[in-house]
Amino acid sequence: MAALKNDGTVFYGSKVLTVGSAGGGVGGTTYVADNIELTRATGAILRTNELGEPSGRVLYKNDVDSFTCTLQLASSATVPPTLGWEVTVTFDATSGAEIFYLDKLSETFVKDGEVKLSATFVDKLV
Amino acid sequence: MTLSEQIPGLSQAIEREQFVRDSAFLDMPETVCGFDVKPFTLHHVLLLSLVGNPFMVGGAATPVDVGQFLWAVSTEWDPRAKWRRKLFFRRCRRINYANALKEIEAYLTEAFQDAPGGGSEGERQSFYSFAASMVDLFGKEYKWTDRKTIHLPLKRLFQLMAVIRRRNDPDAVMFNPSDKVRGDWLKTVNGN
Repeated sequence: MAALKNDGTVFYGSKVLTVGSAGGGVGGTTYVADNIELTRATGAILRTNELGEPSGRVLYKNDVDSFTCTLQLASSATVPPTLGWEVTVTFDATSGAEIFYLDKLSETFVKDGEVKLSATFVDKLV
Repeated sequence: MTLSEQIPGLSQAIEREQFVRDSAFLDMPETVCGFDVKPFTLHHVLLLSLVGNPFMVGGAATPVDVGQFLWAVSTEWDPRAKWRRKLFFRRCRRINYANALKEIEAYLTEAFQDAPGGGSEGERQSFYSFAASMVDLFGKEYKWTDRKTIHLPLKRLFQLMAVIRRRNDPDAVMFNPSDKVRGDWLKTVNGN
């Protein structure tokens, strides 16, 4: 997602996330997430007339929503999140607070004592 | 609420790093210990590494090492100007050693602020020099000559490397100097 306008170096696509093993990540560890890319997965059915021209289209959810991000840890002493840990995030008012869980993790990257890793979270369905 | 509103001091840290980034493209004059110096380049890295200067290869720096460093980055530097070098070292005797260490460290920190981070999974074998990888990258991307890459400020090169990296891998893990402010805040919040 790109911002139409970003005035004053606003951290667009960045959030503070609390990720943990408890439901919704409650009481977990705090991380800063950058470069958040949310995917609302959909599929479409196209109806055509006798000439093959589109005459109708249905959009439906065909996969689980997910988001990717870069997580910054407090330090190299901070426990990196574990696969399956949960987080509660609000991306928009329509969807409200949603629970995602950690699905993929990269190796950790370090520079001048700061530690980051790439992560993918998927929507918790139940 | 934005991160800048949540994390105290973050917006000021971002302003500082942005100033260094922007000024790197304006050839603004720099001063270290009262001497006019050039922006730090790959040429300086190679020169100082070859003579084993501790600011490049590690170890405790003596006052002679400080003078050697300042001469190498000075606008007066010329490998053939032996008399000028002698006068320069004489002027170096007047500088405060402790302040010089701090100023050189600040100068180098600024030069390397956008250097890429590394993976933490052990050491990786090296088959060529740091200079070779940069010369190759800018030769491939912008058709620059070895000489051009070697003499451009590292502050510019590291930013361009970040641009190239982001273009080729939008999910690449990148670092900012202001990450330290965020890291310190996270330590407080997490109680570690």
